Amino acid sequence: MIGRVLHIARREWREQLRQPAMLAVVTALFVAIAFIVVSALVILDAIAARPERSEALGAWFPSFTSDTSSAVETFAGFVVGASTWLVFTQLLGIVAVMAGHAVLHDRQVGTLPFLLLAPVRRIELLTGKVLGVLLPPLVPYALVSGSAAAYASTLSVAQPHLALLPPSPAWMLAFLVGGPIWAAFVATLCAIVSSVSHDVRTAQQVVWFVMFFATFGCGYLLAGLMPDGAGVQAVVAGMGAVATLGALFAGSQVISRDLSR
Amino acid sequence: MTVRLVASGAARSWRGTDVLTSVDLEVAGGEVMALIGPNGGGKSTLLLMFAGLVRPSAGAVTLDGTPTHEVATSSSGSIGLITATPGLYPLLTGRENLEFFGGLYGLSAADVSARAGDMVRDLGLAGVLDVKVAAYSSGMQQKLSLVRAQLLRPRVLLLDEPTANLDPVSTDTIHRIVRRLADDGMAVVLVTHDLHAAEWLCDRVAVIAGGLRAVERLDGARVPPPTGRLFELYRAWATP
Repeated sequence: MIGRVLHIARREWREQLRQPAMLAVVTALFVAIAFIVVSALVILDAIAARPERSEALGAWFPSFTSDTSSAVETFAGFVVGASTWLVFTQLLGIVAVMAGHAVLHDRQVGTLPFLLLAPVRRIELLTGKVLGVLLPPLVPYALVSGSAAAYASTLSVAQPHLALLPPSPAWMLAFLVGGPIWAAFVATLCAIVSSVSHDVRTAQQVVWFVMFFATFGCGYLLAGLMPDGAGVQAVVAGMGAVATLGALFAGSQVISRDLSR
Repeated sequence: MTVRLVASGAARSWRGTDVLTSVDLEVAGGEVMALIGPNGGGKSTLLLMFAGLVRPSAGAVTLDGTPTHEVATSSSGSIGLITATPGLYPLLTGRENLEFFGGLYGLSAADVSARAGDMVRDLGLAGVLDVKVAAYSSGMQQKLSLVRAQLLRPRVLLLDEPTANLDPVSTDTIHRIVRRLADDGMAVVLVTHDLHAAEWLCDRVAVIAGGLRAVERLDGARVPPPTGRLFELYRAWATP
């Protein structure tokens, strides 16, 4: 089973590698988020290190004058919190869009009948498709966002917020385990959507609907609950694993070998 | 043992509309059966029923007694299919496409290469096998689709307008290969609008128009394959 799943996934990866523009856009999104977040934190770090800059900031933003250091810390906390939210929701969003075309692509290029004719179980087909769309975004997610978060954690302005940054156990669990697992869940849902859609427009509309709830829901579980610690994130990851397996099983029942459906 | 593909009272309705009413038809190994009829008459639906990719709403379609939709899920690879759309991944090369589909049946790259080698050469694809399919002409794609169908040495070959949009020489090549495969014992079902091809290629023809209207044996009525001055002129000047 694993062999066939990987065989299907490898074909997806091979096709995606031949679409460098698509991979560049996905990478650029994570680079943009990392650049904005790191820039904001570096600026805040510089402000916190030089009192006269805090005073200048106070001149521009009068609300800062009462307690400048507290305001910088609060703003840094907002930036760190927003960055985790952005990274998770964008990962889920990208995966959703890619999975939304996974099976539909086969319908469009006419390969679906040949996949259904082959001795491949539907759960193998679906799992292969999900793995196929999952890996390409996970690489820039891990490399770019992971490196940016690691760098951010070295800045003094981020020290009060280390619970939301590496190497805190909650961040490690959410970033390395929970995020990919919930991305697999969203990818499974959208791959199911793409398998029952007969045209791109319908698939896109339903994927958008799924994506809206998935990104907010999963974003809350991963980023919103991160301050609650590693135990909560372990539970979140476990829930994601159960939800993914359930979706794969349900999806394998939905995909029909009957092409007329 | 000769293969037997049988439709017994096979019917298909779609949202309350009958696409195909009760069809009784049998195709045996060694023969080519043409399905002809008007557009929307149910030919492709019947072909997909033979492939096991559309289930009959009434009746049964079996291959050697086993419902074809169950044959499709087994690992036998008994049914080869060629559709009007070649069904290949455009960003993969011809070789990668063959290796991918062969791999679904457990064939290694070496197995695929060994099994496809002769036909790839016969069809003039050897020089383009490492080129992306997106760069192939329609004819080349359809030829590759035929190679794919042959990878598993199926006992039944189902073709849905395989030569639609192909030039006369490519059409002739594919028809000759199909005839040869049938002569080697394969059961072939061909959906076509090309009556001339049906006459020279097929042993029997079934007229499908919402159901089975007639079955005609063509033995003895076989007409010669396309020849003549214009065809030879085309072969000489228009074949790369």
